[in-house]
Amino acid sequence: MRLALRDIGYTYAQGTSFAVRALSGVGLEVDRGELVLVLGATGSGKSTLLRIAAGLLSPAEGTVMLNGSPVSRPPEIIGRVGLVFQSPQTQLFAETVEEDVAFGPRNLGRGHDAALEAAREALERVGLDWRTFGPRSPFALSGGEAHRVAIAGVLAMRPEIVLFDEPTTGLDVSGRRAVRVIVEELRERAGVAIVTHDVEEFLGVADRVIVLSEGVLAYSGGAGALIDEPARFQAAGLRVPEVLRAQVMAREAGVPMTCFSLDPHAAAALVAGARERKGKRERKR
Amino acid sequence: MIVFDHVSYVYPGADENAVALDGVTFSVRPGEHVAVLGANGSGKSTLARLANGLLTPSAGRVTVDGIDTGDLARAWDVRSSVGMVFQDPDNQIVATTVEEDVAFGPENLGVPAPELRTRVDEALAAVGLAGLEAREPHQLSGGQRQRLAIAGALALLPAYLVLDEPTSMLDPQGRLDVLEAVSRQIDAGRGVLHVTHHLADASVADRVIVLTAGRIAFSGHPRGILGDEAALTSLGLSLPPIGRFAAELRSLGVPVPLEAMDAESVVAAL
Repeated sequence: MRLALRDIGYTYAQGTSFAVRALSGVGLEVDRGELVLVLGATGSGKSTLLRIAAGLLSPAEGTVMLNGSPVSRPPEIIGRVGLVFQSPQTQLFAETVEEDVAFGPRNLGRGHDAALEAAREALERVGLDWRTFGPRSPFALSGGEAHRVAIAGVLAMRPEIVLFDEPTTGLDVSGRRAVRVIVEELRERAGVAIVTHDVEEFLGVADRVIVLSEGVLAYSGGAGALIDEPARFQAAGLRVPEVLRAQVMAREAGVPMTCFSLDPHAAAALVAGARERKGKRERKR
Repeated sequence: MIVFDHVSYVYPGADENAVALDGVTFSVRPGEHVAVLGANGSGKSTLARLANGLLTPSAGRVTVDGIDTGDLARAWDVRSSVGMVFQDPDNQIVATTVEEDVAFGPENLGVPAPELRTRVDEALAAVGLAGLEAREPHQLSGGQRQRLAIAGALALLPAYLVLDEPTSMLDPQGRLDVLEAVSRQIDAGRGVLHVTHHLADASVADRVIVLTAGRIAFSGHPRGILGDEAALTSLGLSLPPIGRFAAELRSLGVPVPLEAMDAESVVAAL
């Protein structure tokens, strides 16, 4: 399935003196098998764009399309496009994990048994054994487990596109790794879009990146062009990832860098190699 | 000084084998920056809540400048000398303007108007929010709101600050702004107990305590742990990308110091 947003515009509290323009002329496309990263500083409109993509907000301007056909009523998207909110574990509510995860599909009218089956499958998909975790209270889980249960609650609706809003906020190393594994596995079967500040976690694995700045598109393209030109981060009000910033500073300090990498190991090899070339050249003179 | 003396804690109703904190001993001196690291569920937040009497130990003792946090008659003395800042700034902002929010604590204590004004101004200046007095908190960025929460704690003139993952919900710039505000408080002589899972945040501390399953697995200068990737991994921690970059450069023969956790200090070694 392909989700496409074209020329999206949105204003909060439109027509009042509190009106805030959140988005103007923004596009986003996510295809099955793709991982798209949405970057932007706080207040750049990222979360608004995700809510529109998930059918939770109707765009004031522009169109939302599924497989090339415009969606007239945003709620039609719900169930087909799933949204995992920031810190989703705070929304767990049912008496058992299984009930909680089954709530989504049941709410979509998929019947008791089908909902239960979808819930068990979703729990397995986030790495939790349903026989062990299904009967537990969602409030007796560790932080990392609760986070995965909350993601399972969205996956149980079997969405064809899954959107994540800041999926690694507040997670420790193993929690972040679990999210990475879920995302990588998901993109095999669905399209994935991730809004994040955690550039270093996801930029390396993204197919495409869009960068929002004050509600407009500042960049749209591959990850490579962003890494090669770190100034694009700054132009959009984003901090350059630290490893990249170190390479830019090394170049400014006279280390003859020819290209950059976001990967710490590759970056270290690039810097050390360039430093050696410079040393040799100086010794020759 | 905040002193934890063989402190254990079991949450009420929990299985008595499910000890959240198990025999923890350490202290925080005025002007000292102690960072507490650990994976989710290692007992970090429990430790933070024990430091100002929000929780009291199941066994052992916590004292703040000699006062036992379990002494209910002195509870207020403990709370007012240990300011607390939590992960989510939105859970601790109460007023509709920035200055009213900072004034809320001292006003509640009956601090008279002229002094109240001074305290609010000084607290806002200390966190870099001077000039935003009349703003509504929701108009601020996440990093600004977290600094507002810190200003609210500072307005009570605490001797110590306990910060429970104050940067984990912030964007990278917001995080740096908060860390800078914290480091100014340490320079001003306040003791800081900083619970975090960012190794880079802990690299600037005077001392790092690593918790696993409620026990102290490491206590010492950040240098003692930051260079040991295997030990970090076994404790459920990992170096941030800049730390892995520095470690890789070291292995390639570039003399990058162990505590170098930002671009400036790594590049300085080139």
